Amino acid sequence: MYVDGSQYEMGLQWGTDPANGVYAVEIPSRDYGFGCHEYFVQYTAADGRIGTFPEEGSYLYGSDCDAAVMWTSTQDGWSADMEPRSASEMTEDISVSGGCASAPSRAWLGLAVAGALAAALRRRAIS
Amino acid sequence: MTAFVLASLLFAGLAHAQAPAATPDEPWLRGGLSFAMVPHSYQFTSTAPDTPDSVEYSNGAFTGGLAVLVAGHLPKDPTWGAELRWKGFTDLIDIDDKTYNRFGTDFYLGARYRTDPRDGLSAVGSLGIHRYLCPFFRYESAAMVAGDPELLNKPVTGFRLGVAGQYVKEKALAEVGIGQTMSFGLQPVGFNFNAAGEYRLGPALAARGSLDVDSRSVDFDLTGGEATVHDAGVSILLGVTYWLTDPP
Repeated sequence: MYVDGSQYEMGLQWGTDPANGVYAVEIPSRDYGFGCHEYFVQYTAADGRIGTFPEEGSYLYGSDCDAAVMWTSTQDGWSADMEPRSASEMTEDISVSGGCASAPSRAWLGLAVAGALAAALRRRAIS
Repeated sequence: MTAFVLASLLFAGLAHAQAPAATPDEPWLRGGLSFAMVPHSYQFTSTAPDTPDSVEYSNGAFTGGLAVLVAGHLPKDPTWGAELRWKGFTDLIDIDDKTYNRFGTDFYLGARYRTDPRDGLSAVGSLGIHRYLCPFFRYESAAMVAGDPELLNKPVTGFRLGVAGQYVKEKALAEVGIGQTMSFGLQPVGFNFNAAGEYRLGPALAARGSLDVDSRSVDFDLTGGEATVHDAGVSILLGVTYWLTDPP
């Protein structure tokens, strides 16, 4: 659930079937419900679709809302990165930064290169 | 660590080596196809907000696929050669109630140099490109972490330095070696031990058995955090190879 742009995870309050229950979330309020606050619920359907309720805009609650239908057209907190990404989009920012501790370090690689260079120089000297 | 110490010694030996002679029993080109059993254990941990905190699974010997090998040396210089290895396998992964299916691959293409054989035994040094597909878990939406994460194949590419011992005598060929894969940022990302044997059954056809032990540990950077993958397993390859003994 998004309340005034902040994301809160809802939990199954009544029922045992996740697809047929009542969900709730309890959040602290800075003004005891006075003022005017907007909220909407985001869900993921069984087929992976992501949506919101209401589909557009947000509901309002509070004593100081200046809207007769207690609805506003904005969805504060919702952004483009809520949309599903393709596999390539999900991998494009992943880069290798390190490796295993049990494997050789760069010092050993340096030693190997130094050994090869020394051997090559010695071979040149012999020939 | 051991691989690089041995590599240093090998390079030193290579530099002293005289031009080795061809071994009559040694095929100049081999091509093989094997059935591959690829059991492995996998651990994933991450601090990124759009990934699960941790994922673990182990797959048994029924994780299988195919492996291809092409190896040979220059027709006029048996000391220098090249090798191509490719392994592809289906990985069925059960995590909680979700079953993932991915096709993993492991590819190596490199050059190799061997010393003058003594009683059929020679030392081999190799350097090449190694690339494998690393399983990686991430949520489909960057800002919502509910539901099941997606399984991605993240390519990890680097160069592999290897040392091996090779034995070729009459109808038998055996190789035992170790290899270290380094990322292009000189980070060690994988260690490989390989033992393989071939026995010629006819004029050109040989039976092949191979054992690969792989231990990989890769750290990743991604938006908002870091992830680490540990993947270790033993691959058992059984198949046939075709030997061409006479260079063109």
